[in-house]
Amino acid sequence: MINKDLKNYNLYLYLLRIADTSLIMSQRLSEYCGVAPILEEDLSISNISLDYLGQARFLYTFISEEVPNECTEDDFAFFRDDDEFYNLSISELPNFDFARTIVKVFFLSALQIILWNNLKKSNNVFLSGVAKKSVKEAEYHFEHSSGWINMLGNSTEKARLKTQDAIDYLSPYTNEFFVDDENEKILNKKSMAPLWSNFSKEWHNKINFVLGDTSLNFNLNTQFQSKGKFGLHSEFMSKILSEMQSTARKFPGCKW
Amino acid sequence: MDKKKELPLWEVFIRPQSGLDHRHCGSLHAADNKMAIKYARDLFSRRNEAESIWVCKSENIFASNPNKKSSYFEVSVDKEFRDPQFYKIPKDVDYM
Repeated sequence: MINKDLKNYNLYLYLLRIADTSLIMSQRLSEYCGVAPILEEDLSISNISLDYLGQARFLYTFISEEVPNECTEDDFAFFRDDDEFYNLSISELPNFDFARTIVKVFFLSALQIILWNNLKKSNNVFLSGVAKKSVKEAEYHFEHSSGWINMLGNSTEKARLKTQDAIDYLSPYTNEFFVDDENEKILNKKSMAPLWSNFSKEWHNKINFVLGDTSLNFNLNTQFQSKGKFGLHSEFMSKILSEMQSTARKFPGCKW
Repeated sequence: MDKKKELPLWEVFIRPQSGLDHRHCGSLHAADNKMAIKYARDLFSRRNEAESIWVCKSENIFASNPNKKSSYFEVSVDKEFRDPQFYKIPKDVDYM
């Protein structure tokens, strides 16, 4: 659907990294629909999931209208294979338990706030427009997940341990957030998009500020770098895609 | 879920976008007031209904006794002289 010969390939790739992360995040969170620990949280997580879906759709629609070959937002979601997805690896990891799900939203929404706030300044009108709309959603996701982090981190020993486990499991995947490649550097030179490597300090401050009110810690002692945004995914990616894409692929063109 | 472990119940009041007063719109379970506000936002303002939200622990609301309905309320049914309907309202007062 997109290839290197396209005029705005750099921009599309940049947008797909954001859109794919939102789409896969949305699909993962939607797994909670009907099975969240309490009814209220069920609706909250579904709301967050729908926010992510909305962001992804917006970006896919934009790209599909720009590229010369005829394709739609659905083609981006349902007819690409895992090596054509550029989402951050953290989004494809299984929910596992509630703590891990909340920590994932916590990490990603903190990143999104910084990303959207920076993109507001983009000289690309479409990008700055999406950013203004989406930052409000990310701020709420961050508030919601921070509230849980605070509550779980100041709760029983069991809750604290589970949440610390979740932080320890997911934190290595945050190295990927702050890696730039040539693509981002090209866009940055054109003042279209910020470098994600510049987000690191602000992101860690944001996370540590919330954790500071709890006995939880963010300790990262690994150089491990996941490569989802470069199209290299974990074993979980093909499974989540097969579930998400099976209906659309079995009945091409099907409608609700 | 075990009854003992259920989170406290909260009453939710929202002020609609159109302004006016906060109105009771339902109840929900939440661990504390912050969480109750967030859940109220997610449950009762999904379609842009609210401009402001109040929550209050249900246990802090005291209600009149339903069994005393007759002695409390029905006694005022035939006392229309309590309505100030015999006053003439000055022209300058538009809405009373």
